[in-house]
Amino acid sequence: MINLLIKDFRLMFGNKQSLSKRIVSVIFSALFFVAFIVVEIFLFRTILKTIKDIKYASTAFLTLFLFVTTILITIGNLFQAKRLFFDAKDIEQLSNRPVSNTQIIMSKLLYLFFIHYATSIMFEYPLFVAYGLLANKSPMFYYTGLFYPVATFFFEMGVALLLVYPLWLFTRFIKRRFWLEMAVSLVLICGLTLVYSYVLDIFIKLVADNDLLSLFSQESINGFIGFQKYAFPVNFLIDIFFNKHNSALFPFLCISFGVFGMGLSIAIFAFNYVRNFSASTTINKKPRPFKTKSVTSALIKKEFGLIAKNSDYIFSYTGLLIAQPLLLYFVTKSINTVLNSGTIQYFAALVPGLIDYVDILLVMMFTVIINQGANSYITMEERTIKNMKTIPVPFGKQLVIKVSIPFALSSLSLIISCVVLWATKTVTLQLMLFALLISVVLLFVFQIISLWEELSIRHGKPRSSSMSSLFSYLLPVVYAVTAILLSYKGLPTNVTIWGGLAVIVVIGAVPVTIVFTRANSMFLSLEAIN
Amino acid sequence: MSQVQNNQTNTPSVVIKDLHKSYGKKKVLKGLNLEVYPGELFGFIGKNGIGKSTTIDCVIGSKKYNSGTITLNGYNITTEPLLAKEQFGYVASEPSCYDVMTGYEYLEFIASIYRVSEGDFVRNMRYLCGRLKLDQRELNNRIANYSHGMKQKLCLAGSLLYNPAIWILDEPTVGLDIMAVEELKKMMREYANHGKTVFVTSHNIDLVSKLCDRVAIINDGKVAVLYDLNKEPNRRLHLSRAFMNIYGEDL
Repeated sequence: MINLLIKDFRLMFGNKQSLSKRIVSVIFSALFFVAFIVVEIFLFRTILKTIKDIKYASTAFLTLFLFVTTILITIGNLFQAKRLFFDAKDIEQLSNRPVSNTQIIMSKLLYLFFIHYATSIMFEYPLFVAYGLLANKSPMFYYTGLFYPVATFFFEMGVALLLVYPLWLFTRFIKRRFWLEMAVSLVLICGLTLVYSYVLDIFIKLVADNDLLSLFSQESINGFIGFQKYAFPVNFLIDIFFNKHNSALFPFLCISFGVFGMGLSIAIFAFNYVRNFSASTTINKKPRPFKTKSVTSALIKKEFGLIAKNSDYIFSYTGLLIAQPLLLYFVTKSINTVLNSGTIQYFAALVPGLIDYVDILLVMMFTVIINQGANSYITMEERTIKNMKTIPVPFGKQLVIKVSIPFALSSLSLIISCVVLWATKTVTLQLMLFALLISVVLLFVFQIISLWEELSIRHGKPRSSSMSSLFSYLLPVVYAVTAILLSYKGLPTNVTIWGGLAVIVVIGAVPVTIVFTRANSMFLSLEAIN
Repeated sequence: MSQVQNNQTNTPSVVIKDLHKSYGKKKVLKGLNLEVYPGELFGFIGKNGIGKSTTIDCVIGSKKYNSGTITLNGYNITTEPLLAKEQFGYVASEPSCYDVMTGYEYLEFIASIYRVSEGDFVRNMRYLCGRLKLDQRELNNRIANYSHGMKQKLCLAGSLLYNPAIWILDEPTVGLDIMAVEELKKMMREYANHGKTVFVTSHNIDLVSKLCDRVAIINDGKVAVLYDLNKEPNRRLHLSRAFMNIYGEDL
């Protein structure tokens, strides 16, 4: 069972790096973990200190925050459980090993517990510390806080296990239907975008007004207090851990174990069913007649399929492309609100055109960061790299088509985003055209750099994406800094924007020239997987 | 089987001359020479890591080599790569088809790349699916859902869809069931009998010894021995021993 547990951890966190790299990675992760908790404690302490004088505000905040984290962690548990219980390769690997279902399920539950505990400690324990510091709680309070994730595990994991089989059935159903999968992804991404815009609005309001108390008005606190009785299991847990009302303990344990028991029964049944009687995936349709295509059309169709029909890309790229206009509009509008308010107005007055530069910067960064989701032009081929090398089509043509599809899709999304910004009067027509031009140039340079990284893969080692990641942030920042400096020197805004563009073109010309002259040779040297 | 002798005077379809290939300082191929003729079923064998797949990768234009020449039906793979690549169909030891496509889409893709006409596509697809026991209804499913053997059969079908002059197979029997292996053996034999070239590597000495017309065993970056199994039928019975002797091992 321990071996199975170690296997699951290795699958999750990978084991491909050298020992020294792994040690460095562990140290950095630990430092990040500690820094994150320290920042959280500071933030929670500030919030709790600000609202401590308002009656019931602390409890309202605790309830709200813990309830939101409970939902998020339950969703996280759900997807972790789905990955663990229904990974086809894992099921196939384990099917002929001398391990019982009990051992497999126990190891997976232990794994889920560790992940749940770590996540809860990271997001929820800082709240205990911040609250304890303000309320001068005894060390026992901090100690019992360490058991909070244990208490939440049974209910949150129980809910996740109840839903894991229906989720698996649903994803399997939609994965076989491309348009349905696209539609569901779109609805989810748009929903998340709206939630994001709502949270962003609250944040912007707090920053712009510099007034945390606006979130905790008496009216909103009354709302939170009213909501508290529905916020199971958080209301019980606050009673148990913060108010020390042990009367809530027994009903909480009964409900939690009940939900966990039901969830576990369903998960065990589903795991056994999928392991032993996995249903056939055959769809019997009559093949449609063959239509001759040109080589170019066939390659374009293949590339489009690799991007659009891959489930991983639907969320990380195609879905985001569709949501880009909405996301960009919300963020640009919010940032403009911040820049036009409070002390930041002073800096905006020092650098004429600052708001324009920031708007262009946002368009650039959104475009290039979303495009990162589809820049594995060759890695996405996996074993079929050999097909690319053996078909009688020039490498150059294949590479151009490979890069053109994400470029065209990203550019289309960019154009729509810019038009939305202009139509909603967030930016002027002139600024929209500038943003479009600079972002297209950046997109081109970024894609060429990504291609360079892809073509440099050797000896089966994973691609190093440090340069494309660096350039995706560096080039927009270089543009903005150049434009700001030129503006500070008194040049007109239009000239400063052209100046920023010129710098990007000069920096980008180097990798573009290298790739254009060496692409064929690099592609042949690329080590295909046998 | 007499076809090979007739073909000895023909122009070879695969010519490898003085092929050198290194990975860094490690020299894998050190002047390998080989000629394979139309109508011939040629076996290329050697122990693991000796350079069989590297040789094939150089032949199909998948890897650069340091020096030497490779021609396929007279076309140099380095200087005339597109014409050379039109001459062969290739099957790798691991199936290399696109998981996001359906089997039908994959075959359609291959047909479009090699400019197969609609009539030939339908005829060849039906024939190959029948021979390889590929259920045509299964072709509507995504390749990601196929078993390893199904994927390999699809790749085999894809490699013959455009009726190439040379059929190159690198360990083609890996993952295939016994019935599919027997069918594949028949297909290779028939393909060679139709005047095409079949160039196959395999670890399965039994398969090579029973099926091939000629066999080359590679050692130390060169062809160590080349047997004409039609002229020396006894070699078919003792190929395993010869194989072991070359690498200094006893049976």
